[in-house]
Amino acid sequence: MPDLSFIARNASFLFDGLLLSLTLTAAGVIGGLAVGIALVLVRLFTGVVGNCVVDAYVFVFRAIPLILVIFWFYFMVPLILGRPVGAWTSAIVAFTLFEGAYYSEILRAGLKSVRAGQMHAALAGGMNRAQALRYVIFPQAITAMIPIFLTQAIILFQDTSLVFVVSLHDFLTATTIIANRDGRLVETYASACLVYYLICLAATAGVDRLKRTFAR
Amino acid sequence: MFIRKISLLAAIVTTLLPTMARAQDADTALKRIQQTKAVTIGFRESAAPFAYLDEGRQASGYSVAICNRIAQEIGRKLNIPHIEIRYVPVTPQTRIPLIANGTIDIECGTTVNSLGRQEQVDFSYAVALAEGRLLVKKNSGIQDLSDLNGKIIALAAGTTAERYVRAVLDRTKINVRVLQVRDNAEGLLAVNSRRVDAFVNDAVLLGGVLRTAQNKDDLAIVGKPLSFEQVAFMVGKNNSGLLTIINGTIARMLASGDLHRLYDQWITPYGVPIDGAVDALFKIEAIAE
Amino acid sequence: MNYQWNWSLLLDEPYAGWLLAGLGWTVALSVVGWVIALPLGTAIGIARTSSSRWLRVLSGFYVSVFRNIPLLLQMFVWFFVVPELLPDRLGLWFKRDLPNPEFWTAALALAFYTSGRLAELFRAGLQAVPRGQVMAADATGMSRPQALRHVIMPQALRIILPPLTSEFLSIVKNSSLALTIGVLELTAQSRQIENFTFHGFEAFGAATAFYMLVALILNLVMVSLRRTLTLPVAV
Repeated sequence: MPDLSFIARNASFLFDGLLLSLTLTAAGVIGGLAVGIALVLVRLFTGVVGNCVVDAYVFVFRAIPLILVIFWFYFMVPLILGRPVGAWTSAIVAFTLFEGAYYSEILRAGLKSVRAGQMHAALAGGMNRAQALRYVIFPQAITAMIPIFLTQAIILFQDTSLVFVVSLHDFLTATTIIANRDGRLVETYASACLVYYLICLAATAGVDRLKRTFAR
Repeated sequence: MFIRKISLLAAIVTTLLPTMARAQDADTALKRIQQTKAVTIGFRESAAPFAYLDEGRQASGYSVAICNRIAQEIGRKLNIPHIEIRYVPVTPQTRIPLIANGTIDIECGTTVNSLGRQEQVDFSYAVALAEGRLLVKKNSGIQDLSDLNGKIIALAAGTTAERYVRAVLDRTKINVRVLQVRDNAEGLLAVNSRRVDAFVNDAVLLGGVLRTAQNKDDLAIVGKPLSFEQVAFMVGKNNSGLLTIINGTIARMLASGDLHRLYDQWITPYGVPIDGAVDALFKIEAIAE
Repeated sequence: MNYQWNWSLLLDEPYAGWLLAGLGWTVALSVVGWVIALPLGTAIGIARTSSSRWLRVLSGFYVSVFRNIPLLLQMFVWFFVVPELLPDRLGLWFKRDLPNPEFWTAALALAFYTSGRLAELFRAGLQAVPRGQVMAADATGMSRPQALRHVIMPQALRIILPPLTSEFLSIVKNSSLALTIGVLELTAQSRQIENFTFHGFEAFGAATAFYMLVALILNLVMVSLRRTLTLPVAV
C-alpha cells in the first residue's frame, strides 16, 4: 500500500484547487450561455451583416486552441486596455467568450430542431416573432438542449485545467506543485486522475439520467 | 465566402488594435498602487531561496522579504497606512510580459539584469550575483560542460541560461540536445528521472532546488561558472518614481545592515557568502543619504 | 503604451523559421496522433456495439477513462508517470533514446485521448444505421465482419464524416497542449517569439492566422468530401 499521507497533508491545497476549477466552470457556463444567447439573438433579429459577424466570431473561436485564447487575454488585453486584468479575470473572460461560440451553435441547433411548422402556426395564431420565440419555440428547444449544455459543461470542467499556463492554482496546478515539491509523481498524478474521472463520470451519469427523463 | 468574412474581420481587427493601444504615461505603477492601495508583487513559485511557495502556500524567500520592506516603504511614501500586498505567481516565461502589461508592479524573483531585457523593462539595484552551473547526478561522471557531448541538458524556458548556454555550445561545437523545462522543480525532476544529464541554472537556485530533493546525496552542482550576472527586481518602463523608492530602500537596507542579515539568512547557506564580488557590490550600492 | 507595430519581423530570421518549424510540429503531432487514433477508435467503437458483453464493458471502460480525464493531465501522466512504471531500460529509452521523446509522448497522449472520442463517434454512427440493414445483410448470408465491411461501415462513415472532420480540427487545436511538456509547436513558438522580441500581438496574431488557415482548409475539404461521398439517392 503506497504511503498517501502526503495527500492528506496537502488536502486543503487540493480542495481549494478543486473549488477554483468548479468556480471557473460555473462562471464559464453562465458567461458562455449569456454570450451564446446574445449571439443567437443577433442572428435572429439582425440581417445578413449580423449573421456574418456571428459566423466569423464562431469560426475564429472554434478554429484556435483555448490555450492561445488564454494567452491573448492574459498577455495582450491588458496592453489594449491600458490596465491590468489579472489571471483570474482574464481566464474567466477567455472561457466566457470561447464557450459563447460553442453555446451559440448548440442554441442554434436546438432552435432548428423545433420544426418550422411551429413557428408558422404561432405566427398564424396572431403572435409576433418575439412572442412566438418566447412562448412556443424556446420552451421546446430548451428541453432538447439542456443535456447538451451539461455535456459541454463537463468538457469545460476538464478544460479549466488549462489555466495551468497562467499559474492559477486550479486542481491540476495544485497537483503539479505538490507532485514536484514532494517528488511523489506517480501517487499524486494517479490520485488527480481518479478525482477527475469520478467527478466527470458521476456528472455524465447524471446527464444520461436527465436525458432519459426528458425522453419519457 | 468564409474567406471574405475572415479577411473582413482581420481588416477590422488590424485597424482597431493600434488605435486602442494608448500612449503610456509616466509612473503608471505608482498611480495604480495609489488607486488600489495595494502593491502587486510577482514572485516565483519554484525559485528558492530567492522566491518560492512555502508549505503554508505563502510567498517566501530572500527577494520576497526585501520586496515586503519595499512595499511598506511605498505605503509610507504614498501615505497609505495599511498597504495591501498582493502576490501573483510568475514563471520565467510570463514575468516580462506581466511587467510590460502592468499585471504586476514589481517582480521579485531571481531575474538577471540584461541589456536585452532593458529594452522592455527597467531593473532595480542588484541584490545578488548569479553564476550558471550544472546540476548533475554524481554517478554520471560529468564535471563540466565539455563532458556533455552527445548528452541531453535541461534549460528553463525564458531564462538567460537558455541564451548563454546555446552561445557556449555553438562556440565550442559541443553537440547536445536541449529540453525546455518550465521551472527549477521540473529541471530537478528531469535530472532525477534521468530524462536529461544536466540542468543548467544559477548555482544558488540549483542549491535551493537541491535542498528539496529526496536524494540530495546522489546529486551535485559542478562545472566552471558559465556566466556572471546580476540578480535584480523588475519594474515597467517609465516608472522612475517607483524605481527611486525601490533603490532607496535597498540602499538604506544595505547601509543599516538589514540586507546583509537577510542575505546571510537566505543565500549564504548555499555557499555564496558576502565576500569578494558580493561584498564589493553591497558596498557600492549602499549609497549615502 | 507606445506599441511599435512591426509585422515584417515575422518574416525575419530566425523568427520566420521558428514559426514554420512550429507549424510543422503542430501538423506532425496532429497527423501522427490521428493515424494512431483512427484505427484504435474504430476498433473500440465496433467493440462498443459488439454482441459480446465483455467486449462492450471493456471498451466502455476504455472510452470513459480517456474521455473523463483532462487531456493536459493525461499528457503529464504519459510524460512523468508512464516512463517510471515501465521496466528501467524501456523507460529510459522512452525518455531519452527515442528521437524526440517529447514529440512521441505528446503524440501518444493525443492519440489515446482522441481515440476515446472517435470510438464514441463510431459507436453512434454504427448505431444510427437502421437495424433492418443488419438483418438484411444477415439474411443474405453475410458473416458479421462482412456485413460490417460492406453494408454498415459505408453508411456509418457517411453519417459521421462531418463530426470526423471537426474531430481532426480538435486534434490540431489540442496539439497546442504539447507545449507544456516542451514540444515547440506553433503556440509555443509564438510565445517564444514574444519572449525574444516583445512583439506579442504579431507573434500571437501569426499563430492565430495559421490555426484559422488550417480550419479553413479543413472546412473546404469537408465540403468537397461530402459532395463526392453523398449517395445519388436523395436522403
